[in-house]
Amino acid sequence: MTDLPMTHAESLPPDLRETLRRAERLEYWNIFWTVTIIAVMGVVMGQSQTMKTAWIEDTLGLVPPIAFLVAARMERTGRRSRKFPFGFERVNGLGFFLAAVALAATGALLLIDSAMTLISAEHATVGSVHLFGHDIWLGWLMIGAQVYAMIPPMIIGRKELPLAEELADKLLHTDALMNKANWMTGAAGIAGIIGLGLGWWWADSLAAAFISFDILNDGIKAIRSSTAELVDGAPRALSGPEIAQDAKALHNLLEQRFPGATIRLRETGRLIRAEIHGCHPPEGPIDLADHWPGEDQRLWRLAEISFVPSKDGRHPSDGHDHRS
Amino acid sequence: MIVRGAFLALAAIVVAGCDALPRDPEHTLANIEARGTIRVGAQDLPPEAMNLLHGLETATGASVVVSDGATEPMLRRLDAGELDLVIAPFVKDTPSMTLAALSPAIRSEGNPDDPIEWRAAMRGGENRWIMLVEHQARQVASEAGTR
Repeated sequence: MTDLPMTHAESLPPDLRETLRRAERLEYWNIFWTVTIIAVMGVVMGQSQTMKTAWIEDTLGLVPPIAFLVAARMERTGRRSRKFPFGFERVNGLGFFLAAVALAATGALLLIDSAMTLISAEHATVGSVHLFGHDIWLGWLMIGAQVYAMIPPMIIGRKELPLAEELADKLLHTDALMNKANWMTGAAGIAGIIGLGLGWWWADSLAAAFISFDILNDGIKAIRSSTAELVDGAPRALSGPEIAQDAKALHNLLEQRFPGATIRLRETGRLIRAEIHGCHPPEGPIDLADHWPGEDQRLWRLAEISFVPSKDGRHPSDGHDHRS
Repeated sequence: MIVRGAFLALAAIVVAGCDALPRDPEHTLANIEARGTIRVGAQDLPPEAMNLLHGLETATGASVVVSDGATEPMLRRLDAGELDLVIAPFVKDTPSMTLAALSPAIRSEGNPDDPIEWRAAMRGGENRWIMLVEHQARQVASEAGTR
């Protein structure tokens, strides 16, 4: 018993622990750049609906990296105890769920707000500021701020994607998607401000509605994935609510190895756990590597195989299809 | 490639549009220039307001036509496009900010902690006209030492 790792991170291969640390460092940079963007956007926001929406999206963009850092820290330092006998490997999933709800709720609120502005035909006032002896249209500063706001998410999002793949980390993946959404928001925002400058009063609200819809869509997808994990659904793919490829392969292999048994897979954080119902375990110790159909370096994904024999030792004929 | 194209397009718009933007959705400034009159709602104008109106006359080549009335009804007429400008005293953080775009203060009166500020109000969203009035208001304020 004393050989068991005390924290979740200790049970991961050293390479993966290093990747986790790299991801944490990247998220600290992400937070730093996001805070500078929030400050710059806040200074030039004015009455523009697009700018307001983009600013709120940027502010909301802090939720996934903060949730990731909290989860990663708990994975690294949270020890198994009597109160938390399974440790904190699911904290990441909880963070993912919180980030998803925040994303969807904000998207919905902003969409309603933009739609109301559009319906009431409100004309956004974007006046001028006096800078260095000149009167400058605030719209130019807004466009400059939007261009600045596009650069860090573009770079950080690209760096996050391979780390998220390696770590099988949906929270980090959601953050990478959110960074992508953020720089696309910047592009839509610039179009909205230019439209407003051209005298198309509706362009600002329309761009804001487009951005809000994108946020809402991302949020709904993330909620579907995160709730699947929280209710012990089959492991989901990183980028959507469909079942993960490695989980499908594992399911098929276990079905072949234990014919007639019911295979149930679930995901706890970045790990997969398999239950084989209606079947006794084979004699002797079980080597997880023998049952992992994927690459060796991804073996850490399979955390556990447990057997649940039926009362009479045979396959339970409960009439339900337990395959995911 | 798409991103580079977008940046090039943006740079072209910035270079070409520095003076062209912003425009007025309801063409307030263009209408003033075409009509030759600036329709102003005001009452008992102080000298700073007269300076502002002279500046606007010079900038647009139009003459000022003043209508008398109380502030709230004039703001309604402004919103309906029946007036181009309303000059009136406002308290700080006035609720009228939601009805119209307000210029920088051209004159302050009363208690310095809670002053009454004379400002020009423009129809919301008419950004080119707003910018012109703001520019003139800043000049008047700086000459009067308001700001």
